Amino acid sequence: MTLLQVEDLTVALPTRRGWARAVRDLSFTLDRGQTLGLVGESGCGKSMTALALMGLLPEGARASGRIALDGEDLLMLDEPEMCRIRGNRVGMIFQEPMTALNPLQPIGRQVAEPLQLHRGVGRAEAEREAVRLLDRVGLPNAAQRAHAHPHQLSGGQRQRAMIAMALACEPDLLVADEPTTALDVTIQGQILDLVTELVDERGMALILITHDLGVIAETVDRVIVMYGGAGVEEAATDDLFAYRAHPYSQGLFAALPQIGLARGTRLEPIPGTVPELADMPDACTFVDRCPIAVGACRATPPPPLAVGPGHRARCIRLDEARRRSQG
Amino acid sequence: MAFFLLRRFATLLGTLLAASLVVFLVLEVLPGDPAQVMLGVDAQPDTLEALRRKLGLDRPPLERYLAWVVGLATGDLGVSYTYSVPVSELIAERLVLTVPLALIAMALTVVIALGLGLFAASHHGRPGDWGVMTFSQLGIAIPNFWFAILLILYFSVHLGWFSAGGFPGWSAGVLPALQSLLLPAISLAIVQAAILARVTRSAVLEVLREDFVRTARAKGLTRRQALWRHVLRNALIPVITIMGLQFANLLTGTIIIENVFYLPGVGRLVFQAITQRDLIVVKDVVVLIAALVVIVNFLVDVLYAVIDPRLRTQR
Ligand SMILES: Nc1ncnc2c1ncn2[C@@H]1O[C@H](COP(=O)(O)OP(=O)(O)O)[C@@H](O)[C@H]1O
Ligand SMILES: [Mg+2]
Repeated sequence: MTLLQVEDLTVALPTRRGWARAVRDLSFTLDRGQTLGLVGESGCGKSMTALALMGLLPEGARASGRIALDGEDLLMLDEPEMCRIRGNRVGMIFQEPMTALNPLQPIGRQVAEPLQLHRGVGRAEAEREAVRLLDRVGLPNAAQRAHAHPHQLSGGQRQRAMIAMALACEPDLLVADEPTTALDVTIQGQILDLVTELVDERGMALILITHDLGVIAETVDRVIVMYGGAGVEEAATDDLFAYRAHPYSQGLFAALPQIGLARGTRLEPIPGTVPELADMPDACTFVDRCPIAVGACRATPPPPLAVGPGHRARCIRLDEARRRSQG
Repeated sequence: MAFFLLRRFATLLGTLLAASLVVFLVLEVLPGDPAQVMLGVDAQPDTLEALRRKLGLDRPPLERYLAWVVGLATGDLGVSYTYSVPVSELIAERLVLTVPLALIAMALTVVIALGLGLFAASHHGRPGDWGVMTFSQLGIAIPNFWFAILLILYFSVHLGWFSAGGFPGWSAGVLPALQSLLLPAISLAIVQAAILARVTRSAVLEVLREDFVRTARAKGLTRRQALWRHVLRNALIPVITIMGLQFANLLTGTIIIENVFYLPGVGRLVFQAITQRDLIVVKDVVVLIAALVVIVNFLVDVLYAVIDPRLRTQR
């Protein structure tokens, strides 16, 4: 059953040079128990997509389109209604465990907070539940560590606390924005395993944001490749690793071996630089860096074209792209 | 934590000793005859000699300093030359006015500043914010004695709500006493509140940009809940720093304000002692004021440790 249906999500940000779209016409659906990866270079709009889902876009930003959670459009909700969704039905894990926790509060209290807020339980009971959660996410000695402040924990432990916090109210959807990017390589694997395990255990849906293709390969069922705010290609993970249809995805994967991708494999930069948001081309965002672009690519935004079952790419030159990738 | 406090306490004692030494050096050791200063140029030689003996000027400076410091520590502050009463009594009866006055002024400062600062920060860039900023700019620009006179003209002379000055004493009842302290406290508080409101505003704005505020919102807290539960306490650290400094300003402010309102407090005592060249009183009161400032700074340090667990575990 469809849990989340995102249709033509567009996020416009006010910049010094007028409105710029950080996310444009992004559409996807996600079922309970499904996992989706958003991948793309830094600045392609991954975090803005996540924040739009949470209703926590920066001041002045405008979101349009539709974000339906169990059929209810989150973009139509007012602020108090959105507060009942956040942390309750949708949980979020942020990138920076160093700064994402309140330095002045014991972590047990911080994990207990969503329970007090959404479950209406008292502080003492919420804190007992917080200890159970901290124990579940693998914080050693949880009962004592619940009284510790963030600065007394390692980066990995803080991220575990963050996960406990996001999962406290057993949300239907977990959004993880680069949850391991700031961690030591040795810890990254443990944290990812924990996230996948918990998502499995609770039948949640997961949106995992990363620029680590190795993480994508191991963790998620489906992938959306983003460039310049647009979802340029969407496919089941295996299909994408088997064949990339969009010239941008092809460039992205170019330097990587086809199989046995190790965690920590970072995206290879593509020739040229990502234009500033306000300079992003109106039709196909990739046109200025695309090796096979033609005049028509600048005319209208390319529609999603079928590559195979459940595999789509927004490119009007798919045939040429296929020829190049084979030749 | 215990070690942190111990170290701060040692600093406090050290600062007090240094302050007393400076006061002593300036008033008694630097060239110039204290007895001559107190009695004026046309004093009789035998009166001068008598005062010198009374002040112990015939003894070596180190001995006098030690005797004075021991006296300070044991509450024996000597006898005022002009009033012929023990300075400790003199100060004690003035402190019962000045301490409540300073506390009321500080409380007003904190309430006004935190209220306005939080309001401005949560209305950042909107008319409420501009209003507070304009108001606080005015508050900073106004000298407190002038503001005091305005208050007297309006509330005492025009409306007749308060007496224009004087202090009935606590024996006359708590309410009348507090009433006579209210206008002076407001005069003292207004400038400090204006400064502190700006500090609060920018501290809150700074914290609002932190990642953990977004985390708090992602849990489902409203803007207001996040402000009260997560932002405020984090913003308090710079606010308390400035508050500690302001307390010193407030104490020196009492010297002027107590004179404007004819309040028999420590500030007025210093003023009178200086005009009457009663060096015995001046010396003691200056050290007392220094002690108050140093103690407040010690309390500020303790507050830091209470607020911020990172300071407790450091070294
Ligand atoms: N507050 C903001 N105002 C204007 N532009 C912003 C703001 N935050 C991010 N951007 C821009 O929006 C684009 C998308 O950012 P983001 O979603 O954070 O990228 P990603 O998470 O994929 O690295 C970037 O070009 C970034 O410069
Ligand atoms: Mg990001």
